[in-house]
Amino acid sequence: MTLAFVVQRYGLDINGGAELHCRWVAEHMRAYGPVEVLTTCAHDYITWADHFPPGTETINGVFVRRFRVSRPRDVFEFSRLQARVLTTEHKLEDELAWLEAEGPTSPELIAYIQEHEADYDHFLFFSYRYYQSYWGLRTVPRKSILVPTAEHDPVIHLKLFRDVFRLPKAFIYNSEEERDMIQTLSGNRDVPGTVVGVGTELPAEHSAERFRAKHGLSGPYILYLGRIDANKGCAHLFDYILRFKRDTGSPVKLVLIGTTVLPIPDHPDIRHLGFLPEQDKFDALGGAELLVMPSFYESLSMVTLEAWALGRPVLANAHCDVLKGQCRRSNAGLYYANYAEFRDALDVLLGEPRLRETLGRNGRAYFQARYTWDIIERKYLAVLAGAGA
Amino acid sequence: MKPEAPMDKSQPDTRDILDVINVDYENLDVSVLMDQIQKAVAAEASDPETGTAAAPPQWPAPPDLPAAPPPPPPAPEPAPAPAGLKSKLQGRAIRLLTPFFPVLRLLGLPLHQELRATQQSLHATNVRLDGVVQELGGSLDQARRDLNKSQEYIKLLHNLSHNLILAATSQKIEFDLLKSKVRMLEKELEFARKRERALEEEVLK
Repeated sequence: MTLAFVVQRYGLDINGGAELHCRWVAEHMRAYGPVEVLTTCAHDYITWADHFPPGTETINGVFVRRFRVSRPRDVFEFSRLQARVLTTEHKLEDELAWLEAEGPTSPELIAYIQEHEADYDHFLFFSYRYYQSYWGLRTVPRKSILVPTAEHDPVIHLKLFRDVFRLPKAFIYNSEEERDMIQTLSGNRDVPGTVVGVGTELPAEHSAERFRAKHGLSGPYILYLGRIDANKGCAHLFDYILRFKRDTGSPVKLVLIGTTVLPIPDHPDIRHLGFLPEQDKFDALGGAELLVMPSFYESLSMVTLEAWALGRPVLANAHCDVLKGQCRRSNAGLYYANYAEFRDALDVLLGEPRLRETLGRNGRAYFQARYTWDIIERKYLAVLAGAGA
Repeated sequence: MKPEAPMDKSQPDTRDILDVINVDYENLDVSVLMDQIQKAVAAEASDPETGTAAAPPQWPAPPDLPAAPPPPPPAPEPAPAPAGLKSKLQGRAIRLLTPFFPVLRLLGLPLHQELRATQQSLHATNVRLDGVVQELGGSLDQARRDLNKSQEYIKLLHNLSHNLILAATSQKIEFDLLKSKVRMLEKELEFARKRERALEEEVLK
């Protein structure tokens, strides 16, 4: 059983959700047969400019083939086309132009898939919304499995994706909410789909004390992990946490780990530590009272799973169906839809150590039952078997 | 529910959510907990002291009410008494009668008639108001029932339009698919016809 993982970017230092998801699954599925990754030379997800040399290499034991991007993304042109397809009446041709502008445009990659279809038993496409998935699925529909990693963002309503969601032989969804959304939008209930998600690489040990000592942190803190961006709900988070501290007088700190594209309020209890190594991330999680997830759009949220794996509760944005659904299914997190709910939920969590402990325990059990690697691998194998490997 | 070891707060919270939340640790259900928090938030919003609900509206005075009557003219001061014994007696009589001046004024002036007229007018107004309230009460109940019906109807319409959109989307996809299949069949038919003609030619040669 030879598998081809098709993804827009691939590399050890690429930490985008879908890309990391693809890399981890590829590395784990290597144990069951030959695995290849078909990807582009891009590193930057804004421009998709060629960064890696075209050709082949091996990363963590996985054979990788890279193909050139024929033209980097013109950001202004892409914005113009996106505004057009999202806000005005338009034709399918406009949407195809938008897809082309979005990139990473790599006809070489699609041509390779077409020519070498017979060399692989299955093509696993990651991220429905990019060039390689759209054209790749149309090229080899009978051998394709789609891992859509879809969020509830407006582009999923574009007409060109409705047909695409009916093409693959099987789906691997990240959550029940993602499956329901895609099935409702495209009417593809007859296409087999399984909710799988992804595991995570946990360190052998973690130490909250080490993290506190390294970064000079004292007192209780809540943690945000990920890109600090308005799209991730961070602007609301800053507003809410400042109001929370003013209203309740709580000494809790907000610790932010990740690169930022948003100005961070100058407040002694908001600490931005920048992008940190994985070990520091888990050390920080281990010492946090809870993880806060203010994002409006998520297809799974790997950091939420990591928090639960370490037994930490989560406070999530209720406007994100996936996060709310995960909190309710796991009984391991609270959620908020406005400031008053944020304040009360955070107040309850910070004031009740036993509640944090119980939620954390539930989270760990939920993670163990659904997201350990042996379970994920078994589910992938079942999907592949069902798809006729 | 009392916290086991709540975090220190530098200043007291005016409203402690922990007092109104009840956590069942044996059967912890996040949905139930969130319902309690949402109810507490809703209760706070409707509390006029702490909440953010708008103050009740101040009703303006009806425009067609008559203006308040002008105050009655001040009671005439007693005329200065003539000098001597008579004036002394008059002065004493005035001092003695001073406490009774309001009653005397009431009897002497037609105020009692105005009061009676005002009272009758108020009574008539009350009777009319009672009628209006009774009539409006029935209308309000009816309006409330109508509003509830309308809300249900709107919900049904919303669901219907949602379902229609879903059905229309699904039909469009099916339509496109069938159209593609028809095109393919047309091509196959065309090919079969050509083949048929070619075979006929071969056979008839």
